Amino acid sequence: MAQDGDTSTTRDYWFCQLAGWGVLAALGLLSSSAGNPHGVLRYAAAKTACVAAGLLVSHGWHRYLKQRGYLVNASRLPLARLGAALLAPTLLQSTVLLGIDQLVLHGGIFSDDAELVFDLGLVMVLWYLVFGVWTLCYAMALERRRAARAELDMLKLAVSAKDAELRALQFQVNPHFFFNSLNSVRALVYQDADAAAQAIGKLAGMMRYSLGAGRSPTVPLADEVQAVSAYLDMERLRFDDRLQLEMNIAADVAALHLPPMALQTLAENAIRYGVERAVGPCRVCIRAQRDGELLRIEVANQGRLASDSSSTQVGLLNTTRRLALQFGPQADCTLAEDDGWVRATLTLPARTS
Amino acid sequence: MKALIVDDERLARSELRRLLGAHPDVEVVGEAASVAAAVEALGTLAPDVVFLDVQMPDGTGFDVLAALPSVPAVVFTTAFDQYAVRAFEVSALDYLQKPIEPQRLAQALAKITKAAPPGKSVRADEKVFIQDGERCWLVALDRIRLLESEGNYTRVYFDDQHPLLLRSLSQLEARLDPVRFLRVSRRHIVNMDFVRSLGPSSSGGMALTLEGGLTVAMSRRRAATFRQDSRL
Repeated sequence: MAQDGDTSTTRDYWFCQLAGWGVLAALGLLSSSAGNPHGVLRYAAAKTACVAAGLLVSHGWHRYLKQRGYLVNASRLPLARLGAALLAPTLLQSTVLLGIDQLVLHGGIFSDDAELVFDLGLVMVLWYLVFGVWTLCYAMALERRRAARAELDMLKLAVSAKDAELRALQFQVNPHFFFNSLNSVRALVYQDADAAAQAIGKLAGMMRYSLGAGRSPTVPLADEVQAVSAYLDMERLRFDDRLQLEMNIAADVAALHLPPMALQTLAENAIRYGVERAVGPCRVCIRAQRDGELLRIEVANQGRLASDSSSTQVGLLNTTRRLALQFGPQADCTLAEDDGWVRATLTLPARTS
Repeated sequence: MKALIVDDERLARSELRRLLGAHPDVEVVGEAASVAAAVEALGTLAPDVVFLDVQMPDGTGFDVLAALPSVPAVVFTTAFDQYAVRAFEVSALDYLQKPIEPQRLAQALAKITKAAPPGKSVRADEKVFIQDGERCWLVALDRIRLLESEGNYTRVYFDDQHPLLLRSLSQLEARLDPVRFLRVSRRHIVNMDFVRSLGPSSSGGMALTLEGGLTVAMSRRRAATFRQDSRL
């Protein structure tokens, strides 16, 4: 990953270098095409050599900048030092220019002794500006890359945080349920001590199951059903006859495996969106049966699907995806409303491990 | 003081009743298990304080408050919804977490008794509950500067807020003190305590400038009546 980033960075760097100097060379060549006493070809060759030298010098300058770490902190650039250091590539390039002028053009530019100092000065100012602009572009490119990286890091962090949150939620006892249950139990202590003692036992069993649920990728349905029954008994304490439960688990599916908390989550949703929202009695039917090579679990509650169920659909899609990863393409989770019932169906391959 | 318990769970209601048994000055006058039943009980029983569950089958405790013309002392009881209660713009509401600690209940009751002016009932300080989108306010009537009609709704100006109340201006006018709250035009009711200056308006009526910079026009007809009444 890091290496990929480095090679692509290097590629981008050379692309920009060649493009920038290429444009400069093209401009030079275009301006050479106007006739002059020393011949077009000679001028063109001299300018191309000059640009090639510029490319090399700027590459050297780039390495120097990297080595010194001058551009590491964009908000605190050592401007004075940069400004002074820029004299080095300027002098180097000007010397090269002078050499090329003498060799190729035989003093075509720097011929007049009287204006030699002025010409040299002009050339140096020009190249100082060229390298200055080069440095500015380079610093801006670096800063953009840094910002993009920071954003990517933030995204990765957010994704991993969401992931951890999801995992934690999956195996957590719903606090709303937990505190309401404790409240019910405290009321029972004064009304029916035996019922209170039983309720504490159920709450403890549920809690123990849920705390251990993350340890294995699958659990036997019988274990999950036991925990769900304890949970539903607690909910019956809270909701009295508002919760009308029918549970029908076929004998031949008890040993089949499912992901831990899968049935629990469906049962919790049936309570939350069915019973909790019903003023009167609300039926909840839980069924599990074998269908050939498949295990089918259905949790149905009287009521209606929430009208704004787009988040539910996203959740279902994610669940189906996760199930497919773990159990293959036969695994599936659906939610549908028909005739006053909301049905959640979980389909898994019938496996005993 | 008269108390109403609103919670959809029977055991939760009986537990609160038991806890309130330790306070002889509190009389539980009723129980309700839904938003609809709570609104009805509040109307008929007129309790001084309501213990209100946040989540109920047919809505929330906020829905109960929003349906009331005026709100008694409110104590929310929550299992794990205190964030919803804390989200209030005006934290005039107390909340208790279930299972309720007896000391916290005593504190909440003491706060209500203290808030009531001596010799007056706890309801003297009338408040109105406003829910506008996600935000809620519990506003004492004497903090409202201006009520502005917007169709069937009313915009309520107080402090630096102006949420929309889902009730018509006429509905509100019926229960406001007509001396303090003056209907100055078809669209406006002004709290006279907040009027800073009066002047003639271009239409022949009057222009009222309120504290905080709002200006409201009084219609010519009403301005005439107003001048007569106040002998200006």
